[in-house]
Order: sequence, then C-alpha cells, then structure tokens
Amino acid sequence: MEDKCAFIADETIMNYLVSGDHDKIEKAEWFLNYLAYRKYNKQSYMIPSGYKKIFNILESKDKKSALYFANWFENGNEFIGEAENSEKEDFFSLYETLSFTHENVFLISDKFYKDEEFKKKINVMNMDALDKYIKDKPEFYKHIFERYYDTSSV
Amino acid sequence: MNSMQINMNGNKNLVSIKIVRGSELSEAVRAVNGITKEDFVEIRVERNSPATPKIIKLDKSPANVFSQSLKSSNFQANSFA
Repeated sequence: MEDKCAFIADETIMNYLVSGDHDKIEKAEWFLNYLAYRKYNKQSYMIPSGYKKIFNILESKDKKSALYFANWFENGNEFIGEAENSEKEDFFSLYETLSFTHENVFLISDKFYKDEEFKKKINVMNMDALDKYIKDKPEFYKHIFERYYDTSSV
Repeated sequence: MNSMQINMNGNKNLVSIKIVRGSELSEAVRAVNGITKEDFVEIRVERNSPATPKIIKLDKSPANVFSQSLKSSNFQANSFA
C-alpha cells in the first residue's frame, strides 16, 4: 500500500544526479522514479531559496532540465510565509506546516543528517536511508527494477 | 552554433513537462497513443499548442531521462551546492 508521506529536499538529490558517481546517480534516480510512480503527492518540496537557485541554474542552460526539475520539486513558498528566515528556520517552518496534512514528513539531506540538534526536531533521512525506504516497497521495486535495471534477460 | 545553443533553441517553446504513469491516463488516450498502464509518459505542453499536449512514451525510466538531460547540458559535480 502506498504511503501518505511528504518529502522535503535540499540540494542533495540534485547534486547526486550530477555527481558522475554511478551509485549516487542511481540512488537519486530511484527516488525520482518513486515520485513518478506513486499517485499520492508526486513532488518533493523545497524551501524557496533552494528551489529558485536550482531552477535558475537549470533554466539558464537548458529549459527541458528546468521543467523536469519543476515536475519533481515544488517551491514551498506558500507554506512558510514571507519572513526573511535562515535556511534552517525555513526547513523547520516547511516541515511544521506539511506535518499538519501528511502522515509523515521526511527531509532528505546528507548535510542535515549530520546535524544531531536539527534531527531532534525533524525526521531527516540521508540518501542511504532514503534508498532503503523506497526499495522496501515491493510493488514499486519490482516495477522499476524489472523494466529498467534488470539486465539478466538481455 | 554550439551544442548548448542548439539545446536551448530546441526547447525554447516548452511550457511544462509532467510525468505520469499510463494508469493515470484515460483508456482512450492510452489506446490512441499505444500506452500501457505500466508505461511512464511525458505530457509536454508547448507554446502555441495548449489544446493538444504531446504525450510521449518514455523508453527509459523518467529519472534516467532527466539525468541524461543534465549530463548533456554539462552540469558538473556540485553544480547546485
């Protein structure tokens, strides 16, 4: 059964995608494929400053990449008001608001996963934990693995 | 004209891209486009064609299409740090 959680992302996933490291790219791809696969909430939220930064970098080079990004990531500006907050305050604010309407909320971040103080307030998953979380969903794993990653029949 | 210019010019009319599973499309749309419930498709809206979005069946996983697109645009490690 599909979970009813919401994901918040920092720049970790995008940096994995352009890392040049096969394992990292695959982990980021599995997550985005999971968002595409699920019916509930097909986007991951970002704080406005992070969203704008990445969207602008992508749009300056390639519109298609920017629009693919916008398919998977949503600017969380409407959830955190207009105050000039720090990055941490924005993540916390976004987390709090999304927690009202979702069973679970996870922040995906390798950076904040190391911040023990921050982890006391927010559910943070690093990419390894996220990879395990989504691959533990049998129907999804079978669907993606058999169609795109299983080379045994080639 | 370099490859980046070609890339940008080729995509300048794109307005939005939405990735969904075939099961989220109507039966009629699936039949017309030869799409199964298990396929992933890209619904692409281009400028001047709002009434007829393009429906493109993806042969690779959607995320792989995205990472290949980033690679061909020469994004490097830590581009978004």
